[in-house]
Amino acid sequence: MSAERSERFRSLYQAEAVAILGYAARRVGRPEDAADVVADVFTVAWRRIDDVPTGEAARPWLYGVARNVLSNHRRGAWRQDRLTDRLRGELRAMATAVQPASEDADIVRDALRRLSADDRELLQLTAWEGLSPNEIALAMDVPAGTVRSRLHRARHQLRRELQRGERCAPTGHVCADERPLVTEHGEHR
Amino acid sequence: MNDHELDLLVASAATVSDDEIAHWVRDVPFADLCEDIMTTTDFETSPPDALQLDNVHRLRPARRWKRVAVLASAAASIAALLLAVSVRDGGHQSKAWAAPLVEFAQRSPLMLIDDNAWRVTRADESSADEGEMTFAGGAQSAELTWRSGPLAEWLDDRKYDGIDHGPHAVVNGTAEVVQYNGTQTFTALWSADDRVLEFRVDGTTADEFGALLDRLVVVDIDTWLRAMPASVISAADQPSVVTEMLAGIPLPSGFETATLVDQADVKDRYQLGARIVGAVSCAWIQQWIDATDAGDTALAQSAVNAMTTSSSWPIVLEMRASGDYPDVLQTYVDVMTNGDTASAGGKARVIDTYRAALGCEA
Repeated sequence: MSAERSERFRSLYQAEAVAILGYAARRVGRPEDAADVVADVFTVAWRRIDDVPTGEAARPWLYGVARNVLSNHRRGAWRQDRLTDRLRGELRAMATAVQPASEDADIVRDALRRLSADDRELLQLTAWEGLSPNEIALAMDVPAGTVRSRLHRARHQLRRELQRGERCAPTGHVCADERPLVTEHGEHR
Repeated sequence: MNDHELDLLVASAATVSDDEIAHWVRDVPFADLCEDIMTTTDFETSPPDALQLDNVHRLRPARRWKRVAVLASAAASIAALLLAVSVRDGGHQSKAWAAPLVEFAQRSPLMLIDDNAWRVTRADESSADEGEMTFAGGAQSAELTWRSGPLAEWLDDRKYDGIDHGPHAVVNGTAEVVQYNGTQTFTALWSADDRVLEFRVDGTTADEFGALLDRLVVVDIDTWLRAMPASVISAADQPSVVTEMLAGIPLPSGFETATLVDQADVKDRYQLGARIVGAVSCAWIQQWIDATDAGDTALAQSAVNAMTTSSSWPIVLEMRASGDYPDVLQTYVDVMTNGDTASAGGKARVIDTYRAALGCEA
């Protein structure tokens, strides 16, 4: 039984560690902190391996754990050991190669920051992690219908934030309300 | 910009791309972490002995508790504030509800579906002027949302992608009915009491949706609260969440539990547990620090003794399933047990870190 659990955990880790690392790296202030998140999420997963859903439900379950781990991170609470220290060091070195954000990305990030934490997380889980409303429902522990309703609202709010102060979004040079970013007279709105 | 384009825009704002992550994984020994976790962490095999079975049953399902956490938090206040008092009034039993519940009800539109086949399954508030509730009727569900206006903006938004089915009279106004394009989802929006109300049903028809709109009623506070799920609202029959979470936790002398009930903004059982465990633990740790400084070894040891039981506190056991707060707590317990006041987790001084780490700074 123990061997089965170990094998299941290895498979889970192999399949999902990259996704959890990505989730963490996009949400922590310093990329190296993602090492701690991954370690803590999978420590919980190992401890609760019998409770981890099988199949496609495993990843949203892990995202749900990661959300709680991140909230601990924001409290400044960390379980640190030699291995995560080593991973942190290596990630810190890797992160120096990350390209600086474009001005356009900054505009969108600013707009996202002005949303409520839940609205922001809904949009990020959709766009960054590619989760469906049903998967987000598992990760955030709310009904799928509520996710759809809130997602609709969150998009509405984001469009409004992008429009506010003429913060037009960059992709395709289109503002959130479909007005062109650059008018036919070449004037930037 | 449609939803897909907006999602792409959000995706472009990610601080780290999937390609970069893949690059990291290639070059950083993450595989070692997997084996390290398995060799250094015990997995849990069965419900720990300290978790009473009847308690487990009462706590399950966790999702249900989380979904109604605002009300659960409000219910938590009941124990300290008053607990529902039953009185007889002409054969009709009514209750004096706790103030937080009454305030929650007053902020809601006090609406129900006047049909025994439909019941309320959840109610939640995301802010003082925004909330939602879900009704279940057989295999169908309906959602009622209330939020600030103006109505025109919400209508424009819904009609942007929807089919306008025109006005429909409802009990407290006239709703505009919109069908989401290409779906069987219908939604109705209207203004009432300076709020925008929205009632939405998936998998229905225009006629069925209209019939359901006709059955919406506005009720009094008592009736509305009585329609809430029993596990949340029947405070007279349920222990408060805070009291329940404090079960099995030794408290320092003079510790005030009343302050813990003021957690109505906490919407997640894990987070509420963290606040409660953190508050108690911080009090013990502070006692340990003070007593150690004063040379009162007996008082310091009593704090150590209390904290060494933390790994079997029921709420801590429950939280282990959902996050790593118990592990963080254990690092401090270990330091206390070892009698080393200098550091926790080998990184920082306990006295400098414990309040932030355990979430009891406020």
